[in-house]
Parts: sequence; C-alpha cells; structure tokens
Amino acid sequence: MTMSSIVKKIKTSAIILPILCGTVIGVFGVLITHLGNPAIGFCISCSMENMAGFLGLHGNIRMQYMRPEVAGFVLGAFILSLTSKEFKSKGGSAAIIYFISGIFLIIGAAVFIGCPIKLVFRLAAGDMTAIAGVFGLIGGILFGVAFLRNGHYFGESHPSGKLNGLVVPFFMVTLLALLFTKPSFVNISIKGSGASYAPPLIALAFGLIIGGLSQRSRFCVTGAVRNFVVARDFTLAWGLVFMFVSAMITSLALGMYQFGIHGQPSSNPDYTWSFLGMALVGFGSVIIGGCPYRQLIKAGEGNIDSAAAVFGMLIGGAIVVNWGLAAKAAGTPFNGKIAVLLGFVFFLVVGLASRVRAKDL
Amino acid sequence: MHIQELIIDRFDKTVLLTIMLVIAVMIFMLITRNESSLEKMLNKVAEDSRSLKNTYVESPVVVKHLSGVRKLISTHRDELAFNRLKKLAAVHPTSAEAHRWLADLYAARQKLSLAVNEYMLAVELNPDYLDNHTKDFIGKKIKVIVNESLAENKKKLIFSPGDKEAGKAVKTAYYMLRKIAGACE
Repeated sequence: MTMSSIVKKIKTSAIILPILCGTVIGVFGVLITHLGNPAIGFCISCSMENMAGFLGLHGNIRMQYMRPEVAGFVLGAFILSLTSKEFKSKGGSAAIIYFISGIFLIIGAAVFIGCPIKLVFRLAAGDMTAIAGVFGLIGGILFGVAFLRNGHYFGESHPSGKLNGLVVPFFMVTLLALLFTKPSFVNISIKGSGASYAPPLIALAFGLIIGGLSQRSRFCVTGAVRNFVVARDFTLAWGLVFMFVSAMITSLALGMYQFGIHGQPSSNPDYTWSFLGMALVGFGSVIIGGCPYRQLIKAGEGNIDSAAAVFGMLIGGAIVVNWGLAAKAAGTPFNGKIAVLLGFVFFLVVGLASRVRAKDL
Repeated sequence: MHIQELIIDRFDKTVLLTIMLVIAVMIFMLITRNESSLEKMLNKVAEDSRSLKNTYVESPVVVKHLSGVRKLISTHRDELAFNRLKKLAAVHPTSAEAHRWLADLYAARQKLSLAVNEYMLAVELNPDYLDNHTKDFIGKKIKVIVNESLAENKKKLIFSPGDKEAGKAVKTAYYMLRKIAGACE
C-alpha cells in the first residue's frame, strides 16, 4: 500500500472527523487552561455551575462567570448544522425526563468533580485519581447499554416548529451579549475559579471551532464507549484516543503535566464516590443518548429534548452549589452521596418505564 | 395499570430489585450517618463560618487583639505573643487571621504539623488565602510548609509505621495539597 493510498483512505474514512475533533478538543482544552481557565481543560458541569452563578441562580461569589466556550459549542454546532442543512427542530419524546436527567448528570459530574470530557483531561494531565472515574464511566455505560439491549426507547422524535429548536442557540447568544455588555444584574466573580478565565473572544473562537467539528463528527465521550460496546464501532473512540493523546502532549509541552494521585487539582479523595458519580453520568448519558457535552451539541442542532437537558444542566449547576452537593478536597459531602443514589433510582425507574416490551410491539 | 402487567421478564425484576437495593442503601446511610473526623471538623468550621457568607471579614475585636500581638512580636516577646494568639484562636475559633498567625508562629518554631493544622482552619474560614486573585494570597508559602510537614511525617512513618499522629499529619498534608491545587469550587 503506497503512502498516497493510505492518505486517500484516511481522507475518505469516517474516522477522520472524530480524530480531528478529538485532537482539537485535546489541544484547545489545555491551551484554554494555559490562557487562564481553571485546571484543566473544558468541563461542562463546572461551566454550568459558573453560568448558574452568572445568572444569579446561586450566591457563591467564587463561581460566577459565563464561559464563552460553552456558548461557542452550541453556536458552532448550530452554524454548521444550518450550513449542512442538518438543523432540524425535533423532539418532544421525553422533554421533562431530559430536563431532570440534565440535573442528575450535573450532580454525578459534581461528585466526581468533572464531566466525561474533563475526566479525559484530568487523566491526560497525569491525575491518576481520575482512573476511578474511568471505571465508573465504563460501568455506567455498560449498565445503560443493558437497558438499550432490553428495549429502552423514549419513542420517536417529532418535527416541531423551527422556533423551538432555536431557543438554546438564542439563549447562548443572549448570555454572550450579557457577558460582553455586563449589565448590573449579572454576576462576574472577582475571585475564586469564576475569576479564572481565558480571554473571552479566544474562548469563544475555540468553542465555535470545537462545536462545529463536534456537530460534523458526532463526537461524544459516552457515545464512543457505547458504540464500541453495542456495535464494535471504533469510529468515535478514535476521537477519544486522539483527544487523550493530544491533551497529554500539550500538557507536557506547557509544563502542566503532573503525574500522581496527590495534590491534583479537582480531585476527589473518595474513590468509591468518584466511581459512583461518574457511573451515574455514564448511565444517565446512555439513557438520554449523550453526555452533557453532546447534549449541548444536539441542542445546537435543534433537538428539543437536548435543549430541555441543557436547561436541566443549568438548574443542576445551581442546585449543586446551593445544596452543597459537589465533592471537595475533603471528600464527598453526605448530601452529594444521597443525591447520587437518588439519581440512580431516577434513571432506573426511567429505564424501566420506557422499555418497549414484546407485548408492546 | 396493574404492577403485574409491567413486570413481565427477568430484566424488569432485576431492575426493580436494584431500585429497592439502592433505596435500602440510602435509608441505611441516612440512619447510620457516619462522618470521618476530618469531615466532622471541616463541617463544624463551615457551620461556624456560615454566617460569614462568601466574603470574609475579620471581627474588629480580633483585629485589635492582633495588633497587640504584632507589637509583642516586634519587641521580640515571642513567647507572650504565642500564648496570646493561642488564647485568641481558642476564644475566637472563626477568626481566620488568628489561625493564620498562629500557623506562622508554629512554622517559625518548626512545629510543622501544628502549623499545617492551623493553616487548614484558616483557609476553611477564609479561602482568599489560597486565591491568587486576592491580596490575602499566601498559597505558595503554605505549600512550602505543607510539603515540609509531609516529608517530615513520612520520614517518621518509615521509622515507626504505627505512629498515629504522623499518619494523621500526612493525611492533613495531602488534603491541603488538594486544596492548594484548587478545583472549580
């Protein structure tokens, strides 16, 4: 096989987009931390907590900021889906379930201290405590896959008025406008992690590029594992591998790599609850068809159920901070543990109730 | 719809059993709520400082006492200053500055584990000590002392692995290193 035929094969192969997307996420995630964001990489759950604070949904003055990269993810996906004529306002199969699922996804992620995207970044930066989360995520996904194999199905999505699908992109544009105009009713931290941010325009540009690439590639951390387990499809998993490798190389190059288990940023010393928190995220993500990051991308494509999940994630961010559910350097708070178990009960009941059994066919 | 109509196969039964198991675990946890000593202490500090909300403000009474202590230190009456500070931290346990000053004095006397304990209380009360966006930031200094304490206590554990004090000090040092590393909180 000649070099040109290999290049040709790669170009025509479906894996090129996930690989490109994963690589860009890995590099940009570490770069954005180098430029001022909190360690390390992108984190949808932390961003949701910050955005809830920005809108005054909680009062922790250290966690109030509108992360422009999150708006970029949605708007990048929105713009690309419009240009590729893939923008479809549809959904409504289980909007309220998606909304509550969004809340529990953020609770699970807050107990682990990071969403699945951040899990990869933590691992790539040498944080070995994240391994508990890796096992948790895989375990949760396998659990969810058991439901898929046993007939979990929310029902068919229905086309809806275009306006419904535009709500989340419009909401993100509004949040960006609020960030740049800074009216008196929004909150922006002057200390704490909320005060750590990369230049907003650069963060927005990163988000737009990643959002666009993710829309084209369907990149999703939980989706990559699920596809491999269900269909032995390694396409998205290549993206995950390249995200990890590129994030690790960039961390090493920028002197941000720190191998070990002690003194790691955003690490939960309770490995059992780290495992369970991420297992909840994995399980819930399979039940609603995508991790928190993927819900943002799908909301950008006009999916109304994912839009409900995004708003649920925002409320989840407020709940986590207001009720003190997030894990801290001291470990997992009692309320956080109970919330994770409640999340499992919720997804188990949803999975059970939404099964299509032989008698239903 | 009757429940019998829903439970039609083994998967349903397994899921129902799992739901009951998770609920049972929750109830058990709620009944036998168990916190580690570190958790208990930190919760106590957090409860005490809850009234302080998000912005830490030192009480004027403590500020006055601290100015007296500063005078003692400047005139090299360290022992008296140390005793005053110990008393002050005991009488005003929610004073971050008192704990921080006490920690500084412990560190100066090379009582590193005690210094780390006091820094831990200080940063719980006033997180600005570890926040490089604020003028109160002393994270780098604390990190040096925590690392020294960690090395010292690890050495102690090599020679006497059963040393409970050293074990506790190592745990506290690791906790402080996680605190210093930060999170999205």
